[in-house]
Amino acid sequence: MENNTTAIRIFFSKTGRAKYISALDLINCIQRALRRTDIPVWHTQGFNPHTYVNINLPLSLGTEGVKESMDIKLTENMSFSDVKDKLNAVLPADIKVTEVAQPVKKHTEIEKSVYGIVIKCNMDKLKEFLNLPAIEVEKKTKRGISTVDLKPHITVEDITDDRFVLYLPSGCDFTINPSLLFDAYEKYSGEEIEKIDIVRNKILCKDGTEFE
Amino acid sequence: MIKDKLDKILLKVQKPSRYIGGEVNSVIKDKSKVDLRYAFCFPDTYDIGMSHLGMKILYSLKNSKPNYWCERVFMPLPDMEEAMRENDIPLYGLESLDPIKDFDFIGFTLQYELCYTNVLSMLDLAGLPVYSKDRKDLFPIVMGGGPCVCNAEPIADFFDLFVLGEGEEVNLELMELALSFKKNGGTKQEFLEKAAQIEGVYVPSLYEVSYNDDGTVSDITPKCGAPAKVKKRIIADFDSVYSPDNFVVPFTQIVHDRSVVEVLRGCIRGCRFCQAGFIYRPFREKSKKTIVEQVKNLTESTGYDEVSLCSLSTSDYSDIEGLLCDITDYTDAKGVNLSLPSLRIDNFSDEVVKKIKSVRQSGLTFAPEAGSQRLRDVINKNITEDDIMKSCKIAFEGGYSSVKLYFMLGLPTETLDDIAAIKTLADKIIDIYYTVERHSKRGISISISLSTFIPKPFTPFEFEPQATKEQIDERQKYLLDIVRSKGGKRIDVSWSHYETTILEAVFARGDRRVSAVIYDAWKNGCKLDGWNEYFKPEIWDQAFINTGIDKTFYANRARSYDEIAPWDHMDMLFTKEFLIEENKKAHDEKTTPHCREKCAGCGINKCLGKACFNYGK
Repeated sequence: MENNTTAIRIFFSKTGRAKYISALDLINCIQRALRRTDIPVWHTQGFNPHTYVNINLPLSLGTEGVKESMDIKLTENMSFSDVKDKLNAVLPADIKVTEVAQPVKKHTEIEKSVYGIVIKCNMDKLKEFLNLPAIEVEKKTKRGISTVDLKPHITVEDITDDRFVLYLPSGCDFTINPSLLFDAYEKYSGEEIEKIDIVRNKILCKDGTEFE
Repeated sequence: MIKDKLDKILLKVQKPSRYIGGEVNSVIKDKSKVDLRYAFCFPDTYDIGMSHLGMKILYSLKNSKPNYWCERVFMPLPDMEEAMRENDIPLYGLESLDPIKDFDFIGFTLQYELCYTNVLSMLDLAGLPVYSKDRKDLFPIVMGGGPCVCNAEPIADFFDLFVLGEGEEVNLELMELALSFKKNGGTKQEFLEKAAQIEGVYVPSLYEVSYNDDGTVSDITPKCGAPAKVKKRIIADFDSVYSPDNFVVPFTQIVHDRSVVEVLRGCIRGCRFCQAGFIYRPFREKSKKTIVEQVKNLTESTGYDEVSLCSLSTSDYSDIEGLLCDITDYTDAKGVNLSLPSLRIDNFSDEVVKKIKSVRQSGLTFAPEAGSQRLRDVINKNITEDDIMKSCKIAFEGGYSSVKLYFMLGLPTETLDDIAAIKTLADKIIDIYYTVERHSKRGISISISLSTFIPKPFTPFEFEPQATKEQIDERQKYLLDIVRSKGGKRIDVSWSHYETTILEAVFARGDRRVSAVIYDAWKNGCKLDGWNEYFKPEIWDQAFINTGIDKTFYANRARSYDEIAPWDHMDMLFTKEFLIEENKKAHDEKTTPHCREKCAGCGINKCLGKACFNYGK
């Protein structure tokens, strides 16, 4: 059934109001957007056929992303720039296709997310927290709640008085949601973070290169 | 800015995407370039309000004018409302995220009585006084529309004005008037007096209501040149009425998550309990061509993979089979599902079953409303047991194996024999099922859903008392006992709560004094009364005590034909004499044929200037 299909990778940004669209709702939103176009998309062939859309690494609710990606399959040829323009014409205002390309890597190769954090809080306290020898939090997993030490998994770079870059594991095997870290900070400091913007700027693969 | 404050709270509430706008097809304008801003409020949650067709029509209509900007506003759930109050976020429009108290119009659509406390909550959350008299400025003008306006007396004190009937034209006329006041100045009183001259506009403060010693209305007197009777508005040329070619497509799943096309307005049936069947008269259809075109437009602009036809009794469309053929020609080719939510039992043909069979299969729902033929005649539900059996047989042959049946308890003249007939009817449907060869091994399941009859204004039963709690309890128990005593396994019975039903009954036929109860209950924490999980019967009981208002006076009292009703100054374009005649026929167990068969003489045809149907042959 999949014989004459071509997989394509659509890179997009999801910012502003769109950060409140959940991962599941996003798929629905993209499927409907595709139906508003004449892009020749492949449908799953089950009892209830639906437009095939795979989000490579779902973004957590409340986080913006500037280089997110999803895969679809075309049943006929269409140029990448046509796909981009046609989709951009029908997507909600805060979701924009930035690039359409041939998939290079498999989504199973994804290992890390790189977030840009802009934050208003007691920065000294936050630095103190990030330098703790261990940051133990309770994490919900499929098997229930377990305690995880975040410390070995996080990398912080370029910290200034209101922003820094944060590397967190993401992928099929192990994911740490940024909110886990900031909730832990609020618990530790007793302070409510006044304002925080989290933007995923990059997705990295196991070999250290960018997901493309 | 509200956006920043929202960013702080939205991740803490359930399904935040419904509070932030930004959906496809939502309309964003430059506020410095618009003359009037309209907050269209649906006094229930986003999930429900976004499913409502009337709101979509009026939203698009207002926004089709470049100098008007209409935004959507819904009732936040308690988690969101609490967070908004804690963070000083006033109620805002989903498009601009600006506070609605700065808009020119705040318009509520009033679809059911149990949303009244939500109206007060939303006004309060907007930062406005809830009573019209306490809002001294002309703007924002707080207005209401929708079916509840046919008796808006219980909420009259909270509104500046109402529109009676269909809103497509009168809304724009009101906005034009407001625009001239904005340009030339004028007081709220001056505006309201002018507005009252527009046909279909009801300004409650321009009417004085007095009462007799027995509590009934003695007089309704218009002031300042307001008309003695407010005439309902209708769209005479329904085929060319404004209809949106796109819908706002929500991110989160809502109750009716699909495109909806209106095929007809009004109903030919004249079921005597049904308010919609009377107040939406006259019967008018859109042409097949218009409907198919709208199906196409909406499918293409929304990306929905399902479209549903909307109306009362859709199968009364004059060429329903032709229509379904034309629509399915398109939808089948596009892989779009078609659903038909409103079918009557008696004209449920083979062809129709085939058409809806191509739609995803679920259960079948029928509404015989009453178990016995005698009682169906009383309520003028002109279907026979044969019709029901025939339709069920067709459905079973088509592969259906579950049937949901709707009945009402507490109908006028009802006896326990009529209740027993509900079980007998269910048994016969089960028997029919086993005569069909293709029945599935799982067997049939029948669910019986019982609601309590609520007498509504502008129906032949507006004179009737609602059954008391004791009567309803007795009848429910009687039915449950006979269902459980034999053969009950295949039959499941559910029923509505009397506490919300009687509230609805009080509001439906209430007068202006009832507003005190609504205010008191709301002040003490009542809202979202239509939601079981938020409904607080004890606060409502206390509110009736606090205000000295007797709910049985409004709900359980029989009215004489010559009593002045609180809504007598509303003219729904058919006569009260007709309702009285229909009420008498009900007590005589006599039916009235549907309008297409024979004109019942309600008087509505006067507004069309011709007969509703061509009776020539």
